Amino acid sequence: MKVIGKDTQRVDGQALVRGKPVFADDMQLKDVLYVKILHSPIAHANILSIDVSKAEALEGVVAVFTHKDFKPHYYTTAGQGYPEPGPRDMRILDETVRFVGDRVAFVAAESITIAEQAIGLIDVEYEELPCIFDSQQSMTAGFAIHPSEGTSGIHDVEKNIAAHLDAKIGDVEAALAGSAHTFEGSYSTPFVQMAHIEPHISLSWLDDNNRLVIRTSTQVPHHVRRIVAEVLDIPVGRIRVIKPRIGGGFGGKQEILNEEVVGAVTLKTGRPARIEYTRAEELFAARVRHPELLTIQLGFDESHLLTAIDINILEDCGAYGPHALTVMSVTSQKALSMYKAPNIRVNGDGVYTNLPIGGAYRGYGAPQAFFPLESLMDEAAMEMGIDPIDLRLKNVFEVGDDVPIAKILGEGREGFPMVLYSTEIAACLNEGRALSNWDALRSAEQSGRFRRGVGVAVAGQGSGIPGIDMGAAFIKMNEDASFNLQIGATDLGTGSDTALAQIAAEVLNVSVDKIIVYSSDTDMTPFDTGAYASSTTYISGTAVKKAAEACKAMILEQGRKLLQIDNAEIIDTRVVGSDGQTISFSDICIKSFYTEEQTQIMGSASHLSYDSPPPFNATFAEVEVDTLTGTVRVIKIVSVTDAGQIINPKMAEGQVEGGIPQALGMALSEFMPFDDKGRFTNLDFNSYHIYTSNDMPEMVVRFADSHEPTGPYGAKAVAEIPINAPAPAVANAVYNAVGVRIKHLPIKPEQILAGMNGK
Amino acid sequence: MWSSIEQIIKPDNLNEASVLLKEKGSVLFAGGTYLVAQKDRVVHTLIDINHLINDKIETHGSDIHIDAGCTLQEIIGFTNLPLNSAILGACSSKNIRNQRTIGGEIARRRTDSDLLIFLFSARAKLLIGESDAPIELCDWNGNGIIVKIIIPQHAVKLERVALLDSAPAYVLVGINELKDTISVSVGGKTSEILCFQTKPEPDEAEVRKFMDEVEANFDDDHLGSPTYKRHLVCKLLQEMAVVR
Repeated sequence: MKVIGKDTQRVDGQALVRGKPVFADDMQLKDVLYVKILHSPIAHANILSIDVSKAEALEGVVAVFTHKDFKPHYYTTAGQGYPEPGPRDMRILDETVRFVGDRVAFVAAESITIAEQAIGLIDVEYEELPCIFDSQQSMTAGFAIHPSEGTSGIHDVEKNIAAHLDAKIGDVEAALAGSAHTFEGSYSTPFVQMAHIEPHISLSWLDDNNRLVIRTSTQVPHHVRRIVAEVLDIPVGRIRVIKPRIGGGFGGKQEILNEEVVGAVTLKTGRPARIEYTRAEELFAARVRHPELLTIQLGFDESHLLTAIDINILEDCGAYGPHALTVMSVTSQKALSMYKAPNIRVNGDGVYTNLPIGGAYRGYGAPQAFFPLESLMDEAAMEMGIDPIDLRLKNVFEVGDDVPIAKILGEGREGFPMVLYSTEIAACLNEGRALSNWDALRSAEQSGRFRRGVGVAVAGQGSGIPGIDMGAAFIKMNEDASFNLQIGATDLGTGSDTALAQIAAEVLNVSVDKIIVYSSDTDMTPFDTGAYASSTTYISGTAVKKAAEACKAMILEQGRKLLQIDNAEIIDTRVVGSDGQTISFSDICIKSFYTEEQTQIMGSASHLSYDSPPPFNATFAEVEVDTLTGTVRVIKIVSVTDAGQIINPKMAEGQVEGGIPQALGMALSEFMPFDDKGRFTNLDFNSYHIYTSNDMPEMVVRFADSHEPTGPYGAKAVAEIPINAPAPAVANAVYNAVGVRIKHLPIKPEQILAGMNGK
Repeated sequence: MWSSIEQIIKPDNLNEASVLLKEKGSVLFAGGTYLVAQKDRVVHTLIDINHLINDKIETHGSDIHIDAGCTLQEIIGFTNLPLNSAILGACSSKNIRNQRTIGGEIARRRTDSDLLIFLFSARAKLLIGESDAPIELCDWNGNGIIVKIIIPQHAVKLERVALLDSAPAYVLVGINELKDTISVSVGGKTSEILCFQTKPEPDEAEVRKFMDEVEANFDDDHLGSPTYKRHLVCKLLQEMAVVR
């Protein structure tokens, strides 16, 4: 292959490094109104009265919106498939607030300062309601956070259960009873925030035809269009959504967060509107990873083969449930797609609390699955006296295996049969063993204040959502044999525009610079479900490949007509007849435009897959524990991934190197503490500690030699998989270093000291 | 610049700056890094003092004299290793160190500033405003404009406990063991920086009293209990101290 598997300049690279105005907020709009939201300071309350007269009287305030301005209409902010699998439990503005950060009102003014002043002038009388801050108390709280009237899709309103799932294969209880070894543990993963550097920013205006245009930092432009149309009760055809370059999303922008707010302002005032979340708003009012409490039981036979896996999930959805069911589905499905246990069972409840809203965050339930599973696998290996790598190698699914959970448990509904056509997880483990110096480190004697340890964890993910995710592409040819590639797919900084250009270039035998990419504009590009679920390379990439093949077939056909010959083939960028005549791509296009056999050479295609081949990863963490303070420093991470054929090695490496610090943050440094009123207290990066370049360990990133037959040129996904395994690998390394088993993240240094002292 | 700022004033001298500073909504502006982070909406006037404070670093015998306008990065290029470590701990970003002045860092009085703990332990002195009489940093009440920092000969050792190298420490312990005195400073996520000075053979009751104060100074939060943090202070002092 000439282009696939090669590093290439990013198609958006020049503009980014030259500081061109490519981001949402880089556009200067005339007469723009600045929008600020009044967030609830109370975790749960009814709004008894709301007086906006002082705010409206402030000079420079143009409009103030409260719940009185909107008809009660419940929707979900989750930008995923339609009909949405999650509950419809949110209104644009409501008479009840359900967490500190919930919307109370919003103001549009001539400046940010005036908008902020106006927010402070709104008088709200609240009737405080009882709160739930502990997911374990949600189902028995005795009061409901959401009403039954108007909402839909909530599993059990009275018990605050947003979503429920259960599934089983075989007889888990009998299998556990008959197992030679059984292990059980409860583990929890915490709230964490996506912390994308560019906050949520949305701009809106009316175009010449009185259509609403929204330029927004989103991962899901088509879902934004559909949901904004629904909420503001205007036709989809009256809305255009444009996604410019994005400064990170990580799932946080798979949400319709403020697009409907600016849209409402523009429709009411006729003026452009702009909203930008501050960092504090990102942290307390945007979306977070769902905390989950998992209790797992594992059964093994005498040969250390798994006989049963039993999983019980309690998911904290926060105040609303936009991703309640699907995140929990992914937790279940990924945990049960790694190892071939004949008996499996999962039972899960996603419950409401009066805390921030769980959303989509890279991994989407899988990190919550693999921390417990891989911690307990490590514990089992220690107890059974087998090397943790060997235990995993004995039990992982192999090529040709059926993965039965995939059929009975899809994402929010029944799934589709899954057979593994590719897995190199064994190769990943073996390469990681060597690169991490596993054998020497595991047997090293430990003494002194600083103790080293090494741990391993494996993980899987998916490549799009089978039967749901659909992407489309359109390619047209130009006179100089360049091609316009128009795609609905959303590049959120990952480089997917470049990867998709590479796929088109490979098909069309041209260099990447001949592919002009335009993406993510609902007026100009075809439909795509958006950038989530690790779908872009696999789903949208296949759509691009098919569209490019159609375009290429048309080039050949035109070439044959122009050469007046039946038999011809494409060699490089020429059509070559069987009689030796040739014509260049460029000449074919020029003649097709202006002189002979006139037509536009183009191709279009859609792609939906019932397969979702899992990428796999083995992560090895080497840590140093300070036995005096209990603090942990990660010294080295070895991450070996099977992502099928790598389309662009540098960008794929970047994906892995980006996922690792996010996972380490969840494991060690990103704390989201709340006070007794449900107020998040770490409201800036000075207190909410994400890993910086100064904190990063040595990273060794490798990709297994792999080919997925159902993927474009053999590719699988790479976006989410690197974030799943580092946290359990770190916890397992801590155990190896000091003998303390961490079951609840983030790891607290005091817990390590207590564990070392046998408390 | 954020939207509430209405004016930037360049006073002619430090006295004028001090007078202007008394106006509500006015703050001093040197490096500006804390101001940018704060974006305090009640601030409407910046008093630019960059032209009034110098940025030289000199040694006078065993003392180091640092003008308040020196950036943290400039100091790293000049001084000794323990001070450099404290600066790196206080501010891990080189971009910010290039801008942040030592005067601003002291004026901010962050309890979790490694540099402050270092200076408290070293028993640094300050020159304030037009005055020629240095005052001890630990005696400074926060009033006036810092123009110079004098760091006497010292043997400061510093330990920090943080979740990440780039994160502010939640426990900071500094010790300066000289021939006649031992100075200890404790900060981190605390309500104030606590200092303790003693002879080389400290009175056990005094030490216990100080440690009780230390424990009371810490919150029970996600970073750990006050008991744990007291334990850290004890252990780190034992680890660093020559005299046990």
